[in-house]
Amino acid sequence: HPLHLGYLVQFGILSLSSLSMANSGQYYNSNNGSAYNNGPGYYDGEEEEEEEWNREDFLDPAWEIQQKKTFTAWINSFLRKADTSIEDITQDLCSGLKLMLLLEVISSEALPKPERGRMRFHKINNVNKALEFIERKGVQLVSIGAEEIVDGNVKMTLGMIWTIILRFAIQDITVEEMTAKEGLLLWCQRKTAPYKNVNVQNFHMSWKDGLAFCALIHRHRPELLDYSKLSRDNPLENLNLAFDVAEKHLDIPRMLDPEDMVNNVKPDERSVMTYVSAYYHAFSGAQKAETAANRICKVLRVNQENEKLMDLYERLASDLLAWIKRTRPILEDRSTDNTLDGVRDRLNQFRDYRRAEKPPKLEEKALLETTFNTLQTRLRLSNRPAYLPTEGKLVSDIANAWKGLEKAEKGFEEWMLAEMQRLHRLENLYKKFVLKCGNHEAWMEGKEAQQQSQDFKSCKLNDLKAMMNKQVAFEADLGAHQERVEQICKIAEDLNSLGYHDLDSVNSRCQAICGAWDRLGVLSTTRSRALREAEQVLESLDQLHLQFAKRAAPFNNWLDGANEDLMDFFIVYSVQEVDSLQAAHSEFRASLPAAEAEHRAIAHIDAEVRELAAAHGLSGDALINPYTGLTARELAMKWDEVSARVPARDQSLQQEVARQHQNERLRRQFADLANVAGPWIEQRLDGVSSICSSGRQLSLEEQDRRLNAIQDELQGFKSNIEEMERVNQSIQEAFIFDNPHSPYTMETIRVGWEQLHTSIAKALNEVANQILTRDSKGITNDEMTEFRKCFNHFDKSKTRRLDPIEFKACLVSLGYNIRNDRQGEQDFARIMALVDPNRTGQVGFDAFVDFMTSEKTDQNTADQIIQSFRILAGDLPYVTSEVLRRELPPDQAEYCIQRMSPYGGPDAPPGALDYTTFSATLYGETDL
Amino acid sequence: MYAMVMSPPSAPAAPQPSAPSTIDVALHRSPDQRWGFRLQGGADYRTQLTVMRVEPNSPAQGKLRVGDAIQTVNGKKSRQLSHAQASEVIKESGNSLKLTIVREPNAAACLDHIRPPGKPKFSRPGS
Repeated sequence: HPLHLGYLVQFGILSLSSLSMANSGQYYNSNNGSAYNNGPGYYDGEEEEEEEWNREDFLDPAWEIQQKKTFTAWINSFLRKADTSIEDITQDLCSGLKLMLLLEVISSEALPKPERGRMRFHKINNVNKALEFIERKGVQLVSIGAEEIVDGNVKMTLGMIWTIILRFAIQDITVEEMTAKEGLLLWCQRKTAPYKNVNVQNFHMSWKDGLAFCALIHRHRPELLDYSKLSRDNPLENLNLAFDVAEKHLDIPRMLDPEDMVNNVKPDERSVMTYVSAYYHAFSGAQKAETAANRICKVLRVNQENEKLMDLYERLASDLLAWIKRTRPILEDRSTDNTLDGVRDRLNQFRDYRRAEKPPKLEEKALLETTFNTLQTRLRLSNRPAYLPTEGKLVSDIANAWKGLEKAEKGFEEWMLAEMQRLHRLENLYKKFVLKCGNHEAWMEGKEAQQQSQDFKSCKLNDLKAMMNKQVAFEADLGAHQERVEQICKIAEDLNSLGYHDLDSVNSRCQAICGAWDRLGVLSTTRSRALREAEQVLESLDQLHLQFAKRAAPFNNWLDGANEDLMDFFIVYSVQEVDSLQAAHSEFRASLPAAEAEHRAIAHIDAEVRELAAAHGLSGDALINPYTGLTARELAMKWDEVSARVPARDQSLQQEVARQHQNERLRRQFADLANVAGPWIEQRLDGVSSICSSGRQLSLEEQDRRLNAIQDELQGFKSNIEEMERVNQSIQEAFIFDNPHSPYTMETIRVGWEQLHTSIAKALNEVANQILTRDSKGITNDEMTEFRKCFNHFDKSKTRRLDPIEFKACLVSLGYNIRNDRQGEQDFARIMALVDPNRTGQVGFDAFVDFMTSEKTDQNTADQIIQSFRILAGDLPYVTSEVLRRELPPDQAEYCIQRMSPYGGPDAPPGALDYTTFSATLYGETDL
Repeated sequence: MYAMVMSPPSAPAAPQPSAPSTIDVALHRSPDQRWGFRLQGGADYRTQLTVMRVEPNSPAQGKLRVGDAIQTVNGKKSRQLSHAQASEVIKESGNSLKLTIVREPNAAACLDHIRPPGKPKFSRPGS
């Protein structure tokens, strides 16, 4: 039954080149005087052992006795399946019949029909058929002759059997590409490693005390013997125990004699190997199952981790997009309540957003991008299709949304500063309006009543003349005031067009002024006409009074204007502007002496009136100037007012100068910080790019360390940025909108700072992905360094990316046969599509390494997993949950049981599960 | 020497990776014949529906290539289809099947003929 021989070589699969046993073709091919010709000592090719064999040849060979027993038992372990056996290895094989039967059982193949005759030539023919079969299995039996076997030559017979044992029981033992003998030894060493008192170094002395056999059994079937009770002082007991247990529970016949093992100075190596190989085959099923289980677990784990990364990406993308969606309308809201406080509140909110809300989101974005890269790298490495995020959550969608956010952000801050400036100017304009209105209203006080007065109907001629002249003066005054009313209207108009927040009060006040002004104009015209009508009746004028009145009115107007100018509010943004205000003020001061002269002249006229009156003894009404309401005293008061306000104006201008100098200091303070921070950030940016692309050859771990060091530095530098933000806030609050002392603005520093954060995060991720690639592909550090050197050499632009021309040159230098013709162009376009699937026109280092180390032909992973399940299932086309629970860790077993559908094939017992479909499902593969 | 292999200035610029092409493919089979390609991915795997293997002497041979990303099946968009749904639609498609695929410029096709034999060997730049 083929299952019993399952461990035997599947002939078609092994190629001769994989038969690395005995290290060389020496053993199979040598014709001349090798150890083979000298007898059974051909095997090892190790000179030392050959000598030992040869020496033992001369002595009474204990090995011959032992080999006879062992080989006989080994042969019988197969012949029993054909219900026969041998007793004497030389006598019972010499007819060739049982030899042919043995080979048929071992190989599960039919040999040519044996000849039934009992003649010597029949026997020779049969033995030859057996030998030919062995040779067909890839073993050259140089100088083993059928005659010697038929004649019962012991050494030759044993040699031939050993050849069969090697070919059919030992050859297929390969552990990590070692020779079969080394592989078997390594297997023994690994399995007995936990047993302190066992040290397997060979296949003779190491087995004398029997503990190694017991250890092998205990390691695989601990329930079969109590290892802790064993002692190396009882070799016979140990050997008997192991051999009994092996015979009873493992179906391995006794092949060694415990007495021989103990008594022989050195047990026979071939006998021990033959027996140990039976252990290997008994346990190798478990071994294969373990490997298969490991492979399944690894694939399941990779799948689960990829799913986790996909979940992480989706979650990050949703969160980030939702946040951007919430945030953008806030930044795009340009509504204003037209008050400075309202704008200040929003500017403060914006600062909080920049300082506290946005930075963690930037980190999330970096994490999102690195997660995406890691995931795609992992999928590429495990030969899966590229990850396709949910619609609307592609990397490009995130990037676009982010770009939109930053655009909104920039527009928002610009708008807000402009808005603040506008409202500030508006506030000042309103103050000017209030002042002018106040002055005008004070001037208007009583004017309407006076113009409506009927006094001229009951007065003397002189009084009438006076009234007429007074009216002329009043009209002059009215003309002078016209301009001021227009100014008030203009300011009101400006307040309207600039959207001042309290327009109702502005407009009603302006309307009141205009209405009164119009009425006054009408009244004045009416009164003038009435006075002129009365003129024919009355006349008489006092020249002196008239003179006074004529000079006093304009002077009074000048005084009012000067007072107004001196109280004027100013708003300046630079030292130059305040300087020009000071210049205007100086000009005004220069005109003071002329005004003072005018003042004296008017006062002098008044004095003349009094002197004249005094000289002529006049008093009372005659002293009152009938031509004007202005008195010298009033003018003197206004003059004093003007004189007093000049120093006050001086002082406020000087304060303004001081304030502008303070602003200048703030600009310097900011510039000093920015001029340090700017270059600092630029240097770190250069540092990051040089770590990843420098000609210096740094290991990935070293790159990782240095990048982390820069990240730490960044943490330390953060306080400088915060200091700058504080200074910048003072600057904005002082209404400073330019700074000629630094090429850096807060905005450029912020951008550089964030860019630095981002590029470190990106570089760290690249390094991590390279480590992942390196470790998962088993690339050594030296190979990685070579890749890095080569990549850097062609990275002429030092961007850590190769453009297509650089990349092509790189490949050609590495021996790629990219021809300079159409075919070559097509080949190269295909390569670019592999290494740059997003068509950025650039090739990163990890994509380069990935390409350089990718498999030449695609591995068929789902089939590997199906094969692994088949091993667990004992070669059946289905698997049961019991098997899965026995062979896999609990969570992986449940994962499989939940997902496997019932097996639908014929002869399936209840509960049979379909691992083939499941494996395909694991990869998302279907053959159509 | 690396310098030796740089393209001479007169050589045409390296070909830009050509854009992926969208191709309509029509397959035909006789009853009981399989289409002869392996499908991988799908919405439930959150990966592209992708052709991962094409069997020789099958209806798919010469029409589909490894790496083709399937966009529509018989005129219907397939982005939202799970792997099983897509497989079912294709299996049940009678004797003719229409696919729209996006083909990277032969990305996954075999590049062995231009690869250097053995592991990549580097000579130290400048040495």
